[in-house]
Amino acid sequence: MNQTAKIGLLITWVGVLILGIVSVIVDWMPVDGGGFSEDVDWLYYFIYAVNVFFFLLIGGLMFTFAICGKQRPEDRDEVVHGATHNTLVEVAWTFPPLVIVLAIFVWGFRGYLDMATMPPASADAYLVDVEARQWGWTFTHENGASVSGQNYNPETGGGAVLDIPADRPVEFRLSATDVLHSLYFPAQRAKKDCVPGRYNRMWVEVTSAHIDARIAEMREDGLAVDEQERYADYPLHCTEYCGQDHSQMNGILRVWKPEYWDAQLDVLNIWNKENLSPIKWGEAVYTNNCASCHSVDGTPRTTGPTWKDLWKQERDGGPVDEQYILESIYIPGAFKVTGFESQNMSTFAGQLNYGDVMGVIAYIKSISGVDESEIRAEYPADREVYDGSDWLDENNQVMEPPALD
Amino acid sequence: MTTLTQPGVHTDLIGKPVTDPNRETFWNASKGWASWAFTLDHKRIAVMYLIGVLAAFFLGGTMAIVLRTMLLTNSDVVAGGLGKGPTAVNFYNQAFTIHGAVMVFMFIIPAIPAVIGNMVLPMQVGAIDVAFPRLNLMSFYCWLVGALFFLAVLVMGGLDTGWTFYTPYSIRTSTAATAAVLGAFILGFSSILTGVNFVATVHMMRPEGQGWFKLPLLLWALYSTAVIQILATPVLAITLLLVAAERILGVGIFDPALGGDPVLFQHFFWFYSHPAVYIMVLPGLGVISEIISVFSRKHIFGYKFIAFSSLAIALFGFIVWGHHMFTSGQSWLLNAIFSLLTMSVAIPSAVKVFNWLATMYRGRIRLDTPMLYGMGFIWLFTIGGLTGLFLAALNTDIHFHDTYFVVAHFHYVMVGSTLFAFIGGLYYWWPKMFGKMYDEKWGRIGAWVVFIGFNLTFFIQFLAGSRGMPRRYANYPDEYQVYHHISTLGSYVLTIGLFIVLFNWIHSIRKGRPAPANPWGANSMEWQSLSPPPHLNFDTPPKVGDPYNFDGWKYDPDIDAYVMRDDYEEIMAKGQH
Repeated sequence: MNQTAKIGLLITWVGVLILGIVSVIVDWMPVDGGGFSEDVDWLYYFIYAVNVFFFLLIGGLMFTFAICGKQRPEDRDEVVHGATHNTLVEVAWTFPPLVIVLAIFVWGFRGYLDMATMPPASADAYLVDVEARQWGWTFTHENGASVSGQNYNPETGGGAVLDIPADRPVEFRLSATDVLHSLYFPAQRAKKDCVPGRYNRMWVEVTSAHIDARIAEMREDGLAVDEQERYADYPLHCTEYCGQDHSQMNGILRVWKPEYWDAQLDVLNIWNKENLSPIKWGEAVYTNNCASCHSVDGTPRTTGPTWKDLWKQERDGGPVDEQYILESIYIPGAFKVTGFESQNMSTFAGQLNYGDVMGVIAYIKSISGVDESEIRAEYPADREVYDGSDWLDENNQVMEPPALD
Repeated sequence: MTTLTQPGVHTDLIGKPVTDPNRETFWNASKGWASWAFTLDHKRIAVMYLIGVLAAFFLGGTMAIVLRTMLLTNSDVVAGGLGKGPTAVNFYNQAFTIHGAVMVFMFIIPAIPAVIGNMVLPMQVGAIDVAFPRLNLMSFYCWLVGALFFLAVLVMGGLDTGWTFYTPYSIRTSTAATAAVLGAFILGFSSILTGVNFVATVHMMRPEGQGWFKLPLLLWALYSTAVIQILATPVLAITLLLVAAERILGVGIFDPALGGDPVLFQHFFWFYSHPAVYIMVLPGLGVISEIISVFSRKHIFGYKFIAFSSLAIALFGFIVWGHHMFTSGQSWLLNAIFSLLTMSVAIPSAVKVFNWLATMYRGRIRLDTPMLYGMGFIWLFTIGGLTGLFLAALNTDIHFHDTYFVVAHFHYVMVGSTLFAFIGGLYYWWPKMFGKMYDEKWGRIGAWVVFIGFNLTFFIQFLAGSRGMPRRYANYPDEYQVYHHISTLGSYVLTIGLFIVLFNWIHSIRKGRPAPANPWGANSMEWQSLSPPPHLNFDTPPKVGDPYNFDGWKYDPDIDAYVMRDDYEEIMAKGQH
């Protein structure tokens, strides 16, 4: 073997060594946000080891053979007469890969069964409805609150934020209104398509320990975190191409420590994050709760008085104002409207919270001829994004409605 | 490296210069545009296909550079001042769609079978043409018409469905999806006709003495490919017609709004398109088997294992389509079955790689341009194949599905491997096809630049995908910026490399040294003809022998090529083992 060949061989195997070392150093997977990370990452690094081993072996041998056996120009005539086949060798190198791929299959299958099996009823899973559309997400919670949006905007806090509790399984019921989408949580290694015309399901569980680790890591990276360490944010993407703004569906998966979850649920319920104006929100509350008894266009109903032009009407309890509406919702029997004495409306206390009532008030104003700009100015919800914090007390609990006299 | 300084000459089999400059070749056998437009000569059809697929490659490649440039930065101001507003985003979506559709349907699928296969396959069985020359011509015109449809799409409002035409988006998009699916439908027929021709030719036109196991391995690969083309492509054709019917007539098949099932489309589509992955890569595996053996000056190792592994890949390729749909909501049982079956494909692929290595072992390896592409192929195919394991395993695929990891994986298999085999194969058969030698130094430089550029472009995408970068994103979260920088830089290097290849070819046609009959000392039958071959391929009937027994040829330094030994027939009869 000549000098050049020796140098070539040296370079080849030093290269193999360096590649091997580099491959061990590089951390391939994204942040571990619980979910299925543990299983997936284990299998990932096992396959990775298989990959690195076989790749370095094949690549190293290929260069070695090429360098050692490089044809010299004067050897053009030489034909090498080696073995042309060897069944034993063929079998010997067919079986190890076969065993390895079967092991990979079994491992992957076990991990996948975990993903595919929804938590049992006894696991007290929290259910979120996820509806994908061109181009945005709507996340609807068990209490009916829904959050909707496109890209998460860290400056305003707006966009698609999917709040879920930690330390319990969370199940997602996926649907799509128009074309295919796919919900992807890289940190949880979870993904499922949103298919119009069918419900798909997936689930994840993130622990409080993951949240603490994530917060610490983000602090280290100089990223903004929740100062009270109540929650941690993880990315969320659409991964099935869905048209123009496919790449504008990057939301946030916000996982809350369980002790803060109930408060957060109330916050979600106060004001939606679709940036609906209070009027629109009130209209939604009306449609879902009040429309069966009250009309809004003046149509007379026997079940209840119409809301048309209700604002500032003279009633038994005085002119209709915020207090009158609040009381009518929470203590319906306090004042009876003439002509409806026999109707007994049941209370909505506990169903409609304070924010909902404020929405209803705004809505009633809007159908009573009050100028819209005037209504909007009164409510903090008209900021670009309203986070509901005005309704929280110092303990992050939702404030009680003001006492009724 | 030998410097090729001696004056170039066409030589015949025994090395005698062919002095007649007006010797009849398939290039000059007849003249005028009609002699090309209506030719039945498989070699001319191969040349026309070559021009066609290279034009398609140029179009698809331009789109690739456009989209990589748009991904260079994630700010609102990108190269070209396109910004990232809706116009730019739509433009991006169209760019990756056209890139994918053109590359798949117009370039990769026809590239090796229709160019190298058409050129070489009949000659490797010592025939004067394929079994059905008229069908062969029709295949080319199907390709041409299909290609025209795609060009029409470009001016009719583009296409933004992705090359997969996933429903219901493809039903609803306002872009020219109907014309595109019709184009793909017609291109499919071009593929089917080539397949029919190859199966018939290999079965019926082999000369006496050339049994199945005396076929060059390229033919096993092309034969396996042809079987897939014939059996799978009609499924795609019907599926695309259904999409067209749904778009035009509003028949509810795939769109749930009309009562259809979008996942049904995915089953239909991948029932073709997964086997089509092997339509794309199998011919490349065949080309590499030829190059590795010839340039190692050594009989191929494990001939039957390589041959049957081609058939095995073709067969297994039909039963794994569901692995594209692990996240679609199909049942866990289907997912498990498809994952298990998918693992089976790894085995024949591994067998091939090991056999190539065993062929190189102790070979006298001639590191000329085709061999550099051959070794590049082994490198890229190994990476592409091994990373497929992540995607075959169920729970890791859930994470990687529709991320850049998948993009990197299939570019390693379909582009890295197939493109390297295509370029390497063209370099290998270039002397036969054009009767000219190419410049070896620039051939090697080009090979290295392409190799480095390719790895730079796509290896980093594994990392981006592992970390969660979704594919088909016009905008991306800032954390992925660095990967896109490197990838785009790599794509520019790759482009430079490909232009070196192109200029080398053009230079060869214009200024290349006339090629000898057998510059590599190969023993498959096409090398027994002159370079370029006459209209009817052979002046005298070629002699049948083991295609990997190179003892029958002697190196002649005067012409830097190999000449047939006088006792060729005895050497062949004796065999090598």
